[in-house]
Amino acid sequence: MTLVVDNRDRLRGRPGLHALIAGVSHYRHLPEGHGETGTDTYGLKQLSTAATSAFRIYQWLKRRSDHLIAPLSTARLLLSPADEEDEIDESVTPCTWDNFVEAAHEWRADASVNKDDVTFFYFAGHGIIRDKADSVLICDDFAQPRRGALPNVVAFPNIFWGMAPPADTTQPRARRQFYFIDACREFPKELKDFEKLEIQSVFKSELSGTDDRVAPIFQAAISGSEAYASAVEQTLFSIALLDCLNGLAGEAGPENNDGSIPWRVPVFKLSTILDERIEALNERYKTDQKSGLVGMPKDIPIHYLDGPPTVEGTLTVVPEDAKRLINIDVLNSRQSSVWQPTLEQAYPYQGRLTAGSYFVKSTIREPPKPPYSNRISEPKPVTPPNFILKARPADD
Amino acid sequence: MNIPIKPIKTERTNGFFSNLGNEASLRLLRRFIKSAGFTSGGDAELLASYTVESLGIGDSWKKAVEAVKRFFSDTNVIATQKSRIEMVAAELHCPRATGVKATLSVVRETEEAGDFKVEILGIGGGDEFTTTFSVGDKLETVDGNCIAAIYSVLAVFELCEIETPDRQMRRFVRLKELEPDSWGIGGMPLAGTADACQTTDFGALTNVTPKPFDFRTTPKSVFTRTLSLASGSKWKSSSKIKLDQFGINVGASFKGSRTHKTELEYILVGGFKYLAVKPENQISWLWQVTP
Repeated sequence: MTLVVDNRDRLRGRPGLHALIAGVSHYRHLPEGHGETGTDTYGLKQLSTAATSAFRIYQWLKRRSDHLIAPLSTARLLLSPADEEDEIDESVTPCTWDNFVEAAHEWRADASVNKDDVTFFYFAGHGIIRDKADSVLICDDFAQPRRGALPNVVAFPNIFWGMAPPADTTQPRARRQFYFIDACREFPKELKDFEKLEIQSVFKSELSGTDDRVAPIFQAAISGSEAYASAVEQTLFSIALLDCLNGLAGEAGPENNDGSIPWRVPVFKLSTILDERIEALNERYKTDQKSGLVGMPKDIPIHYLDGPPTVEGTLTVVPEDAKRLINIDVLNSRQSSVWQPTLEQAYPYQGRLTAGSYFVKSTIREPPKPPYSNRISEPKPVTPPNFILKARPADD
Repeated sequence: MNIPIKPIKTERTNGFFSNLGNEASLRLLRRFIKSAGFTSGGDAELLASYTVESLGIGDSWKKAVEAVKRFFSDTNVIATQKSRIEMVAAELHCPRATGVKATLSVVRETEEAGDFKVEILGIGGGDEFTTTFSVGDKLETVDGNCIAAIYSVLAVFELCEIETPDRQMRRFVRLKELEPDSWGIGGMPLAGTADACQTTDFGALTNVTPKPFDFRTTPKSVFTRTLSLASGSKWKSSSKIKLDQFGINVGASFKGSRTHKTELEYILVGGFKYLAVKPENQISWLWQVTP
């Protein structure tokens, strides 16, 4: 059963979000797969955590159902887990080409009821390209023997253009569409001597009509590059994406009428911080992944946070020599003390603060040592993805 | 408790350490990290770059294979000890009401040897073992007493030590060998946290089709109902292994599957509403009883 969430009755015609999520770790026709090994496998290997990554994205969507740009209406889930991926229920529908096509058509039908609806597409698994603008998503039954050179794959452009608003303007289709492609985008050398290989279409896409969607495509890998996964945790892109959605890419919106400030994750900030987060993961995993934003993006929010997010950052003393002579107090906007770094802690001081405005108060310990003096800073903003505060017990 | 179980055969496959230098070592590294307890923040950081795989045609895995081999090649064995690995071979859960009786019987529709297959997943990167065994005709229990048939084998464990690139010595326990002809069987009443009937949140289960039997309006009657477990159905379980000489316990994970259909017959007394569920990965049907 691919339809794992159906809240349409509860929403009673109100706009909702329709998700199609797929993750493939186990490839039955690649070496060490459970099926007959194919001949044209292009050196692809079994994966360890692509299905887990997709599953965690699905769990996040479910958990944040009422905080998305529109409440979660339907979710379709296709997962082909490796034997080791214990957290995934074994009864889940595998992401074979047939299952993908069927789920995609149902997903598109659900998204063709109300133009104010939203769609969410996420794929994690192997990917290749046939030209620079291409992105081929590789299903569980790829490399099926005796089925041609590229069997059971999906040309992502066909999905993207097939989801365009219909030429007949009386036919609705969701105008806000989010796409996340968590796969490599490299050109297999085995294909270089051949004409561009045809791939069976999933959708018919119309040539006419006005495409007035907002449809950002977040790609884990830019054209010609690799995406990576930790074989123990998740794909790097999904780690970064969930961190960003959970607040790392949070931004304060315009004040509400009741005086509250909504915190949200908008498209452009998500893209910027995703790139930064992946850079940080590259350091950790010694990889060279580069993500990108393409498609038809505009700066709309995708997720609303419960409140100001927690931000990690550092506090340094300027000049550093003064750190043994002062007490530091970080005060919130109500002048309450929230953080008092001490000399016993590693320097620069690492801390976590709720996003907002803070004062840094430096108090000279006995005996006073000019030129240092007690100081309290101007209010300093603390916003995601991280902060850098400075205590300055002396004039610059 | 009379538990008639008979071992058929045991097969060995290479685990993480036997595969060092091969591509399979990367796939088994995840299992090693979990079972050897290399899961703290520092350990994860240390191993992070060795666990990377490409979501495409890249050959970064070749470097990773070599790096993993280098990392673990200086593993030293500093002690060995024997201990028993216990694994659940069958569970029979009984609805909690006086007069209720539950019976488990295997329906052998084919001549295939062995009723159950249990995989002992590589402990600490040691080799993996798959054992096949059969049970006798019947298991029985009454009055809400849930029971388990436990199958055990004597195993040799190694206490290993490795100096990691951060110059720290890290220790872990590895399964070296199963002792042939040391198979033992036993029964165990399931109570408290060991009884899935008591620990499972029936309301939170998804992807299960509960079987309700409502006999609240017929208090003086007795009813017979049957449920089954299909051939090929699978379960997962785990157990703790005591290693007194090393001063630690280690966890073992198992994957089980059944060769033949298993029938479960329940004699239920009236006056209660019964709910049976078979959660994914559970070895048997669980019961909830309300007056």
